[in-house]
Amino acid sequence: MSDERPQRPSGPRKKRPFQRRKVCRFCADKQVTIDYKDPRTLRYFISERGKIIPRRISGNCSKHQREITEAVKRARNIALLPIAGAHVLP
Amino acid sequence: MNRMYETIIIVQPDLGDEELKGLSAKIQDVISTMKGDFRRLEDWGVRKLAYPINKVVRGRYYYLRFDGDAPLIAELERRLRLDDKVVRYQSVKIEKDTGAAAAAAKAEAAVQTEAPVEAAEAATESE
Repeated sequence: MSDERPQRPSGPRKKRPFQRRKVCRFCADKQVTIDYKDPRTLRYFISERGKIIPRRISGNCSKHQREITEAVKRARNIALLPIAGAHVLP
Repeated sequence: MNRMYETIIIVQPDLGDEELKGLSAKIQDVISTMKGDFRRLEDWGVRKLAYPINKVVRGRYYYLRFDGDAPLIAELERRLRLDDKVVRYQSVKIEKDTGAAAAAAKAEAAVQTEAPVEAAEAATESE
């Protein structure tokens, strides 16, 4: 009762401050290609758990996000990328 | 009609030279008998897999580039499936030949495998 917790705001969540609109990497730089055989580029678009990072965070355009998705799935099949995070050995 | 294909083949890491030669000869044989057009077969070396496949944690990657038609792919994949030295394969139809990208992946493979290969050599030589 003497504890003074910081009061949580009960109202609707505060609007996030405006973030800079991200530019699609692949549209900005035509030299960079999306290839399922190149896990270094694809690593950038998967999370630590191995999930594909959504477009609203990575900032890709829809065309390149589709290509990324396809490439990541192909790379997973041939064990270039993990299917689910790094396996922790017991 | 011939289309451009590329196939990644992962084989067991601990195979002798003869077995690897036999594998590549077999692949070229399949392609030539099915009237395909063999382009190249690259060895990316032994790499660590991102996850174990059939309890194998390492694999030797082969990159096969060829032109052919659908029956050829079916026959090639059937042969690969029957071969127990092959851990996994994946065939992809490609629109245009990208030799440079494959070379980049190859260079990375060399960097990645450098340490484990050295460790293996040290273990076998036991200097």
